[in-house]
Amino acid sequence: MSVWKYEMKKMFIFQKGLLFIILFIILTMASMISLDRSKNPDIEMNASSYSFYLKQVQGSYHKNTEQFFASEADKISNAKVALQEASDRYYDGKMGKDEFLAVTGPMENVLEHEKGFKLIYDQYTYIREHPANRYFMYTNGWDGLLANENLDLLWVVLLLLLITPVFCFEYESKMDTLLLTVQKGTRYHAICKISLVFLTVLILSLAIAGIKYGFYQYKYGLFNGNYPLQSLPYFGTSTKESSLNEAFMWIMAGKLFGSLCFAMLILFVSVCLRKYAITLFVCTALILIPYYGLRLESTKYLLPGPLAFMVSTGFLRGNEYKNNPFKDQMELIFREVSLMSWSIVFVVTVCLSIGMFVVILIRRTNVWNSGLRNHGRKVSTLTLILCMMVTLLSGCNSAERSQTSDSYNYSSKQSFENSRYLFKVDETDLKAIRLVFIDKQTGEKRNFVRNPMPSLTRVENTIFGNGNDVYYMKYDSDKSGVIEDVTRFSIIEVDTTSFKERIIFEKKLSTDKSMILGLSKSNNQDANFYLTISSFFLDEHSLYFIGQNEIHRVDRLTGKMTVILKIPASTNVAFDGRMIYYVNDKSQMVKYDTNTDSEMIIPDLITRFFILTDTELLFLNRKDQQKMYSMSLHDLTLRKITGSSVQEFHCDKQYIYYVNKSDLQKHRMDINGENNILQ
Amino acid sequence: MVTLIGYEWRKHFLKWTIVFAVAVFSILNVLKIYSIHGGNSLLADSSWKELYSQMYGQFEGKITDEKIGKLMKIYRPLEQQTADHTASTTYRNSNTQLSNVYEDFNFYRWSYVNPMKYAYDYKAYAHAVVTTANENIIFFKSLNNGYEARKNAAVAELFQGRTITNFSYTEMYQYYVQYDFSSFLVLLICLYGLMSVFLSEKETEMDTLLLTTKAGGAKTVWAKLLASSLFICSICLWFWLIDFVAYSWIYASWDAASSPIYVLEEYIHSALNVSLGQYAALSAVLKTFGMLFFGLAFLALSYLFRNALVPFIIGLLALFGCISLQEAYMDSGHILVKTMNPFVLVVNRELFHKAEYIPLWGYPFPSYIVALLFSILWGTIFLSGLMISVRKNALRKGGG
Repeated sequence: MSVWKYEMKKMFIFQKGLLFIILFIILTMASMISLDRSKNPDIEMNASSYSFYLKQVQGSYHKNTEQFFASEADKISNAKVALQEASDRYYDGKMGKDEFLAVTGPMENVLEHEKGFKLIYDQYTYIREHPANRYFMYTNGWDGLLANENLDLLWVVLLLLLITPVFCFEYESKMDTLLLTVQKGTRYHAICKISLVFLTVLILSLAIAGIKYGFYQYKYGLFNGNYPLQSLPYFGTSTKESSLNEAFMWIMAGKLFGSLCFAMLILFVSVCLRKYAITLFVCTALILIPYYGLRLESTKYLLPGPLAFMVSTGFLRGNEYKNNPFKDQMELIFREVSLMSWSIVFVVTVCLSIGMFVVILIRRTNVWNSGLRNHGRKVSTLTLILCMMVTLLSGCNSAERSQTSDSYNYSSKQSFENSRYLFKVDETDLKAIRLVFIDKQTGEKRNFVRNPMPSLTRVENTIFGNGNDVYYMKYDSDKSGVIEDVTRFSIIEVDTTSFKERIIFEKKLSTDKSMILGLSKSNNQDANFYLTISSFFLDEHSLYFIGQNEIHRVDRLTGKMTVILKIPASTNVAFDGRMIYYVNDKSQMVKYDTNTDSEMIIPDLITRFFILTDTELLFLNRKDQQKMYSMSLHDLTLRKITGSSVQEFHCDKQYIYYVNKSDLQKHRMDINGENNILQ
Repeated sequence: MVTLIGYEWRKHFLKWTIVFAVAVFSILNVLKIYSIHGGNSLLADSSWKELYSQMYGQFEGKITDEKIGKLMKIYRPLEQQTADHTASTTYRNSNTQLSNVYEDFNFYRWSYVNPMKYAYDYKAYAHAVVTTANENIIFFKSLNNGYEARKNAAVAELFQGRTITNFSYTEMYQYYVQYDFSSFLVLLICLYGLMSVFLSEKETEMDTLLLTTKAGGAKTVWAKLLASSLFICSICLWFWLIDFVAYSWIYASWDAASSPIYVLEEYIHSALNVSLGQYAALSAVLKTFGMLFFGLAFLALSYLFRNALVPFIIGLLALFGCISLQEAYMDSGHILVKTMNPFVLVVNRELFHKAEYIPLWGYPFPSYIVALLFSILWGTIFLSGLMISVRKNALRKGGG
């Protein structure tokens, strides 16, 4: 027992093992908390409407499922049409308020869950390919826990730190020869050391598995563990029959086995080579080189050794193919590991481990060799260097600024005007649509984006302006292979006094660009959203992106994205620096406060189209035959601007331009509604 | 001093473990290059390779209207036949060269038409860049934005007269310039090899004894540093040579070396006007420079400890930190952050594939110059740290 106690004391206290374990647990938890992103962020952002549908279909695919989806899709499209009709009838005075509320209430409830329906429908298209073993379930928790094959580098490092000194320490301090002369210093001592290492690895592995399970259970919830593994698209093509709970147990058992083998490998190498540097080098190379060097991901599962088991998720994956564009053929990118191959790899690995164990015992009875002394490590230096690394990895933040804001209108997203220039999209040459600016004094038209090297960059035709700062968005591509691949999305700020450009936001989109080690990955779902942005606006803390029927807010400091608003497809959206204005499904004007995240319906303002200026809201009044009105933003008073119905209108800083509904003539008047002239 | 360097070299680097590691890693390196060829090359398929080499004689060399006409004569009918996706997919039709008309079309499209079109259009593109840059000079001068005017002048000068006159098989270079695996192997070897340079004397407690000798102290440290640099350079030279030879041999390609670097589409905005062959050499030099920096960092790290365990692990983690930072900022517009990371010298396509400038005192400096300056700065900090700690120890231990 005293040998055990002494070895434990040496490993955890003298060799600072306990400190390394605590550091490892802190770093693991910190990285989980700060770096974990849900696999499908849309589900998290639309949790309530998604769970509304999930509750109705959860579980296996029934014969009624198809009918359910068809009827729900009908219900949603009918509700949209009916709501529009009811609003029209109500605002035309053909329907009373009570009746209107009674009719539209249920429709609004249906439409409230529209995004959730889209999400569950995506899942349905996946499940119906193979309904026997794919179930409807909430996948983010299990995806986070199981659906990755990343080698836990911190875990590898911890094992190296804990296990390398077990034998090396004695070789270094020349104690090995002395030890062999005492009664319990030979095989018994070696077995004690190995048992202690195995016990430590076992406990730590279980603890880490527990922490990970607990984290995903707490953050997302790990429901429906008895559902088939194939319910997760990551394992979609797998032929192995297993439930999610069983898969978790298998993967954890695999990781534990892999870690034990790795521990044995470290002990074996340290006994054979006796020096720290070479032991660390050999063990690192044996793990990392096959992990990063093998082209086909699945090849590493055919190599006997600890690596395959340390990333054992892959044993449960099925065949996966990717389209090869040069030959129009599907190419294998992951080959399923058959039970036979697994058994062979497992047996060979076990034999190797037993062989290593035997060699350790033999060498601990016969070996006499010189070693070196160790005076301990400088913990303070280590902590300092680790802190420096954390600081290095923490990235950069964009600078902030504060000023009053110009108003933004989605309908005029292709133009902006400040005191000196007019910025707009020039569509005169349809083959080269570009952003231009016009000097208001001279009338000269020039390119707004001054980059002389335009290839591999796509500038989107939308701008946002605020005083002298004008912003545009662009996508950068890479052509390192034969196919062009969009790699980055950026928002660029242009100071129009000097036309100096500054990147205020950047997002990496590419997921499969050639990487050195592939340590920095981006989320596919996130990337898809950034590719569908139609316009944007911003304030000093956040960026707001208008995507498909949604407004997303992205924190400029942390990059965290949330859905703040769901908007009808064809509405205008306006922003005055703090408030977002939009028209809801019932043609009511809604004001959203971005500081308090609260919504307010502006009373008595019914419209389908509006424009926000610096002081008022100009809109076509649905209650007064589409005549143009304005509402003051200060005291909310209404003022009629045109006596006749208006088809459409737009405005700039000076004038309002509109088309009269009765004669379709174009008119122009001053921004205050005076001096109406026919154009 | 030379004897001292030779002695240090023999003591630390002429070990069977290092020789064995270099040999094994060299084989792995060649296998990796072979697998890259198998996975990515258009000509990995033997039928494509055969047809390519048959056709290559007709189209290689100077791009002329005659050659373009000849290629279009083959390509246009294929394009028309496959346009509406109704052509027959019968295997080995009498009038097809590969398995069917679609494969013929894909072959000509990716192997000949697209690269030749790019090469042909490049002159006009470069001219357009120069024109825009010249317009920008006038524009920015009118706004008193001196820096942007100077930057555009640099771009105009860089792109002036760029043209691609020859068509050659460049696939080897396309993948060679992106190859990083050998750098990872070199870094691992350096991490191991350099650990013992300072530690071996500490472990045997010879460091105190060394200080009493004439050549001890700073002189020994310099000899160790120079021997280490020599080791790093020779390991780099060996691996870069293997890379180049293996690529040339596996892709069976030697004749693109004189083509300009911008013949690769990724390098359309290349920061340099050099040929592919020159670029390969330059890139190797810069990679070696990056390795020297990391070597110095590993040495400085090992000096702080008394055995290899913790410095090896910290070195490994620092390496991963630099790599992940580099990956996160790959292709980023935040050029300064990118250049501050010394690992960018190792992945130096990031510095050369696009002409990027950083303002220093109002003047545009190419990003590769700034990256070099940063590495020199970091290197100097490490070196002076090392030298200061050596002197302090020498005095203390020498007195005691």
